[in-house]
Amino acid sequence: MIINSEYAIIKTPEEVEFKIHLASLPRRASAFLIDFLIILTFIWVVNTPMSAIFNIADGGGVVKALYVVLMAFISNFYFIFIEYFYHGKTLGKKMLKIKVIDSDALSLTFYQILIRNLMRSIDTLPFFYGTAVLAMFFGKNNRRLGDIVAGCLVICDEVAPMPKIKAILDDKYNSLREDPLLVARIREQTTAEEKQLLLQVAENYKVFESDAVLQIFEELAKYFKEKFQFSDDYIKNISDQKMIFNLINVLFKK
Amino acid sequence: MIIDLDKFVMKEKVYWRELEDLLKKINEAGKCKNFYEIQRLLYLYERASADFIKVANFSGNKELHEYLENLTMSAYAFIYSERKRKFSFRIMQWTFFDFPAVFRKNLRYFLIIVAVFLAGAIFAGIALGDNKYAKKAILPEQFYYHMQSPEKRVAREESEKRVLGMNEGSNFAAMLIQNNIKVSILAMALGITFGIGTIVIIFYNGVIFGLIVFDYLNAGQGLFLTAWLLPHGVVEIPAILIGGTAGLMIGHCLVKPKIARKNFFKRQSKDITFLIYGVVLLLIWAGIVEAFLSQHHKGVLSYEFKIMFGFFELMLFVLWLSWSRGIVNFIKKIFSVKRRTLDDYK
Repeated sequence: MIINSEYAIIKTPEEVEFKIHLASLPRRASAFLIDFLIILTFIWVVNTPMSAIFNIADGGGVVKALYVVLMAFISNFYFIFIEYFYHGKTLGKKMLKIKVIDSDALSLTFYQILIRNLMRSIDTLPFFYGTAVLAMFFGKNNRRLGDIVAGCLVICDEVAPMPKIKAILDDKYNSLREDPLLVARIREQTTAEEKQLLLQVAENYKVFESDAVLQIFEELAKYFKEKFQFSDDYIKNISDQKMIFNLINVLFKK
Repeated sequence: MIIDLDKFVMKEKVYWRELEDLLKKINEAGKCKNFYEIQRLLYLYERASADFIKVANFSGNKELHEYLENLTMSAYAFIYSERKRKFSFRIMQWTFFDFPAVFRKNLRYFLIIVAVFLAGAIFAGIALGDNKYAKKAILPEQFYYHMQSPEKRVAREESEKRVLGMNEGSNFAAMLIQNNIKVSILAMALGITFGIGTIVIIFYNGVIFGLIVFDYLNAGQGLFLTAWLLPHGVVEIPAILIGGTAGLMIGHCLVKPKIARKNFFKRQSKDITFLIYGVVLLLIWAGIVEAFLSQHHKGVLSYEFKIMFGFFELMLFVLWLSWSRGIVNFIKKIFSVKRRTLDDYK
């Protein structure tokens, strides 16, 4: 028995290997339940007035026949079209932050989505997705039969943000923190724009040449010294750059 | 090699940001605007890939690793994916070009399925010839009305002069369409059992078909049978067999060792989609014919008309699958305005 893995590995032509976080069975099941409830609600909402109309209109004839056929395949339509137009996500999948992708991490084609969903007719056998659960347990990459045939993976859809700068936010000695009142004042009086500026400087200053870097920090230090009126005790014997870093440390680290 | 992570991040961040922005821009537009953008995208992607490998190999920073993985992967997906065309309903194209072409391409699977179906029918014929209990043993409950002897049924139905109304008829057609589509899709989906499930379901359908056919033939009701089955069976049976064809294609993908399974599936998915599209079209037609034509017997419609209709349908069907492109081009040629040449003005 193969224990189902948590990650799938994809290799690009550039020999780069990606590890993709696969969606687990409970997550997929709950996403499906949400979708299922949405479909049931939809059918109920549409069916109630329609059946009343058909009762009044003496059976309804051709329209009713069309309606019956359409409603029979509504769950297929839901999955196929919503997955196609929302790039592999249905509403339930979006809520649980999972999505369908191609097994090479390329974009999905309509054909894949169609076949993936038509295979539900066998994944649901013998009752409530029994085959699908078995396939996910014993197969590779957490795939149900539909995923295997269509060449898809269902993965966690969480976008990792760019990591923050660690060097400035470490716990080294910070002279500004000597005075709690000053810390409170700094946090209170700094505007959002100033914070943005400081962050950008901290992120990007190494791109510039050293002379330019000195100049930037000199100007910034001058501006903030005037603004907060630091007493000399706290900024004595430290460079402009260090002072700005201390300032950022105070602002962004509790 | 050990990298000074902070310095590394500071240095490379500009490029990552640029790649992020570029990808966002391109994804919104759906394409690159100019050659410079393409060049830049490729450069940034390669740079990010290189950074990703460095981080993955020489640093334990998980956040950065995940971030770069995400970024590189979305760039990779954009660069290597097929461009998505705008979705458009081209029903003429699908119906008259794509479906028949795909059908012809996969004709060998279809022939195997036809053979399986006929084998089922012949098996039923043999079983019925030997044993009078065979019919009762094999027929499922939903066909209970065939349990009576054919002569009785023919006599009863021929005396009936009732015509199915629009209301009743369309409901009956709806039920038939729904049921048949489900069976066809199941026959397709069962291909995942290495094609065995598909073959079983087709064989089983063949057995039922053969049972009824041979039962009526034994009772000497060949004319009634032909008039009853031909108008819709001519379309309905091939449609379900095409569903089986799709299943067999899936099964073949599974056992084919030479080509990577994944890629083979992907290549077949387009064909299977068109086959299913054709099946749905055919079954809708067959359901309508079955509800409004096939169930009316001697009292309402003459057998000659029904059989003629069946053969006419069969002819159109074969023409459609074998020569639709030629026909469409021919019609276009007839109706298109002749372009004037210089000779006309002389």
